Amino acid sequence: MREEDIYKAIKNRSIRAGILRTWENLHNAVEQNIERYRFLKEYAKDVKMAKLEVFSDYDRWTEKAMKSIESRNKCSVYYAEDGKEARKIVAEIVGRDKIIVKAKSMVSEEIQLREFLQEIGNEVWETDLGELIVQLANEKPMHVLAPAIHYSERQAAELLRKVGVKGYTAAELAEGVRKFMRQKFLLADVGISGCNAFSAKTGRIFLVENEGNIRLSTTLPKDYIAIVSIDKILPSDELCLKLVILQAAFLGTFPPAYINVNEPVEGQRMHVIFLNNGRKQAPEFLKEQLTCIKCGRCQIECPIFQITGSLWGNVYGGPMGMGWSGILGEIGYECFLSSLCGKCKEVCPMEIDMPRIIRELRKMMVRGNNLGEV
Amino acid sequence: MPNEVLELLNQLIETLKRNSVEVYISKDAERDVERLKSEDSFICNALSIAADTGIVFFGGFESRKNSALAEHHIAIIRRDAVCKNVIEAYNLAISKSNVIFATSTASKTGDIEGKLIWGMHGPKKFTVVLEISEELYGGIA
Ligand code: SF4
Repeated sequence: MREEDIYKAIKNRSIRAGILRTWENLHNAVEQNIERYRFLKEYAKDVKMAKLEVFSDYDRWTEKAMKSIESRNKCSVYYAEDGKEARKIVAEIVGRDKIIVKAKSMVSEEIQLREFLQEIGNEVWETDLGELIVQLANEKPMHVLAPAIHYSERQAAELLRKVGVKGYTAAELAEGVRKFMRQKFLLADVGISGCNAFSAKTGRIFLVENEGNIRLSTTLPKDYIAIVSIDKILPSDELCLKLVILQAAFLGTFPPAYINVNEPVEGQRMHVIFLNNGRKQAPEFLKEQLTCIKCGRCQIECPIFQITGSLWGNVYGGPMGMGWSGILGEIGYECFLSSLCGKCKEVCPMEIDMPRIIRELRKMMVRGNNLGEV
Repeated sequence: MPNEVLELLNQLIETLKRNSVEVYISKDAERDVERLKSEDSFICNALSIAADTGIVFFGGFESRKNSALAEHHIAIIRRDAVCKNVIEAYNLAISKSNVIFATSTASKTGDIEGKLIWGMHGPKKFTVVLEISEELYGGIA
């Protein structure tokens, strides 16, 4: 994070307006979900416990997860220690001059996959509407699940005109993108997704969404690549299902329009890349952050994030972004921006103590340590 | 027993309506679905449905593809596919098919100024035809 980005964010009224608009749309929806679906709290406890169990022995669980899918027909399984290795594997699978449709995925942001695939000569499309807008703006997502909340209808229309989508209203723009992207889905050589949860028991990949772009990206192309960061491994299908339900409920859009349960199938080559990228090496105090289900609620509810958006942070912004930056080894002075009010912990379904994590990160910064030396 | 079943079915119908799903109650789904279908629709039998959330499970890779490409997705649901909750529904679905997927409403987005737009990439409309017996038919609210 650069200091000037924060000043830019504070002066940018559309960030604040967009986040507050999103807060108004989603805050009550989440409260209602908690009230209506009493099982959510129980699910959160189960998922947190399972994630901590997996974290306690990542090597064993990663091996188990890889084995669960290795034996299947039409499936290749890989392991990447970091982003560089993951990009190399993807490059070998994809090659060049391909049309690639991508589902929105934070892990691919982590390893800058889209930019890399474009550089080596591919046509790459973010298929989620918000993520496409962000791609065309050449910016980073403003929220972990709602990437384009800071753009007005007018700004979105201007950006979408770059790909020939005409219209002024959200409805006209969405219809234009539907038509534009449908062609890309049908022509695509490769589909790429992340993974919300991976069942180490059955090798199934769970992905939750509302638009249908993940379903199309992972179903239509002949080659499908799934990037699974190892924190997504869970012991069973049931826990994976609980996680995707939690993620949708705590974002505020529940039930989700689609739950995808992907696995190798006849008629498609599947490639699954397990990625570590700092997770195994995370120090003890960051362990809790690895139970994060990336619902983004702590971002929307945070008073600092409401002013700065994801410009406060690196790949991941806001309160959750501090812990994740620590895990990825890219934490800087941004951890001093938090007011430590505790709202993030209060609203987090996994009850992650982010203020404690931020205090620990500050201590390290003051001591001049980097995470590797802790 | 029929009272419990009726309660479950009424809960399901309420949930589906809350999820903006078009619902038809039918004594003969195969016959009634004929009236709904068009060249842009895709009809398939559901493996299971959760009454508390309205999440519907389907099976098969081809169905996944065709349902995602259709403008209108129509699901036929029979009484024995109705489960109390999503875990039960998942387990029932996976016992019937290896490749499963779930849908609870039409495709949607709120990515531009939070405005809700239906039919982003997938079907613009999702319809459930719930087939129940003569005996239960009269008890539906
Ligand atoms: S830290 Fe908690 S609230 Fe924030 S994204 Fe992760 S799970 Fe959600």
